[in-house]
Amino acid sequence: MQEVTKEIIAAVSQGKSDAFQTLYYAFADPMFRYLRRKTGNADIAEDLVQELFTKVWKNRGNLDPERPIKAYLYQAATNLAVDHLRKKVQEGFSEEPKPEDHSEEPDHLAFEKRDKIRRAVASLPDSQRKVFCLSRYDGLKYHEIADVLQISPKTVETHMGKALKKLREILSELMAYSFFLLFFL
Amino acid sequence: MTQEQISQLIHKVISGEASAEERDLLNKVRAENPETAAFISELENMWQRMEPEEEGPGFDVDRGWSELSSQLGLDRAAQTESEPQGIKLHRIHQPKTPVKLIMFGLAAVILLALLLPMYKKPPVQHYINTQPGSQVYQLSDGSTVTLGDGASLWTEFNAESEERNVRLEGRAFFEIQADGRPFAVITQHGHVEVVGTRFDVLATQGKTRVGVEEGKVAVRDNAMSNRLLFLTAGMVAESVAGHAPILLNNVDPMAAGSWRHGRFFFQDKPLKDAILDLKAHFGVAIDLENPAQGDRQITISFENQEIGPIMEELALLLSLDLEQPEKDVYRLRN
Repeated sequence: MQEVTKEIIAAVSQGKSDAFQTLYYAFADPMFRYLRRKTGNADIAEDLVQELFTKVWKNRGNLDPERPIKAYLYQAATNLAVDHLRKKVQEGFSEEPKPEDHSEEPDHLAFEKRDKIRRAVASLPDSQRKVFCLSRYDGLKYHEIADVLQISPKTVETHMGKALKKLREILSELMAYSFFLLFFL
Repeated sequence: MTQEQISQLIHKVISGEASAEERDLLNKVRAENPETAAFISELENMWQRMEPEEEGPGFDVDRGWSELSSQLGLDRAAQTESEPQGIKLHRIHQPKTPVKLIMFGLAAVILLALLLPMYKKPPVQHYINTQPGSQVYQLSDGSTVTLGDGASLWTEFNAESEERNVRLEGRAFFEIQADGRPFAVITQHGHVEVVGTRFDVLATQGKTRVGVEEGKVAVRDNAMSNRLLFLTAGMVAESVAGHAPILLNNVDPMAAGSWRHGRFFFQDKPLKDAILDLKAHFGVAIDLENPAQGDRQITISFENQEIGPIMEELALLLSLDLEQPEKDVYRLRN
């Protein structure tokens, strides 16, 4: 992920569209991937990315070049995803999620592996899951995760240690269960 | 150590956040007990297996930007800025008679000719290296630039421009394609002008340092534009705000640009300058408890080493104590 300097953020806050374009090109794709994971839908994630950057541009005067922009964007994206999910709940899930387009034949083994990992990650306590996902899937550093979640880098470290230990236990159990099914059913 | 503490340590090492001491500690723990070694391997494998999934294509950034800039009116704003005003006048005030028509036509042509260079003003290109180590970029004129960690370069020229000006923050090595036009690197304090050469520029908040590997360059301080210093291959000069550029002696000509390949040759070099090089390359903070130590001259070389072992060697060479109070912060103490 491309890092954007304080000077670029200062230029965005002064209304420089080329600096805003630099910011967009650096973060649109990582934000899209993050929002796609949060919402489970690429079309919605695409809309939310545009909404996110529209908000950034409209509120550019409030941007603080001293504040890490990555943390700001991840926080704002999280808020947008939460708002979206809240609306969806209020609407009673009337909107059917569109299936993702996968042109290749599904690989059942890979699917099973991914499914196990998903279940293992989903079963982590909330704080550990957030820290794990921001590190493993978004490649954020400890201090960046700390900024996004408003916790200390030391707490990030602790959550990460607990998450890894727990994931190992959960995955071992899931693997053992699969092994059992394979031989006895 | 508990399994939880080991898990923390493994993650720090895997994610590149561990210090040299922490990496050593993990190796030590691994070597001490086969059960712990197995636990570590298991966690490392698990981390690999949990790599981010690629679910469908990524975001079409070009299309996204096109739509967003159109929605926010950024494209219109850019067009309005560059649109010659003469055309607008001609469109709005239609002349009533043939004479007036000719007059307006002539005025429009003259205005257009005057404003054409502005209309063709080349766009600013911004290059930023956010990857660890150096990255090579090719500029539109065929020149190449290697940007150090965290360096930023802005260019504003195209094939029609009479001169090629770039602005630099951080460290860069330039290999200029000679095409008859001057090439200038502008930094906060200095101005480096060249015509086809290979040279290294380190632009920090405090100073600008230029080393030439091949060809000839002229260096001047931004505030003293009439004072020029000409450099040829193997020469290194420094420019500090408010002072004329000075030539540095005892500098190894091989040093210019060697940082690109992870090589550092310090020959009779003041420690403070070596520290400047290391800070620019590795993006770390290095403090000297006693600033007077900065004038000590050192002769040492490093090749493809990480900053931790380099700092340890430096401390050993200078008989200083090394501390690392936090990640990416090193302190040399008496």
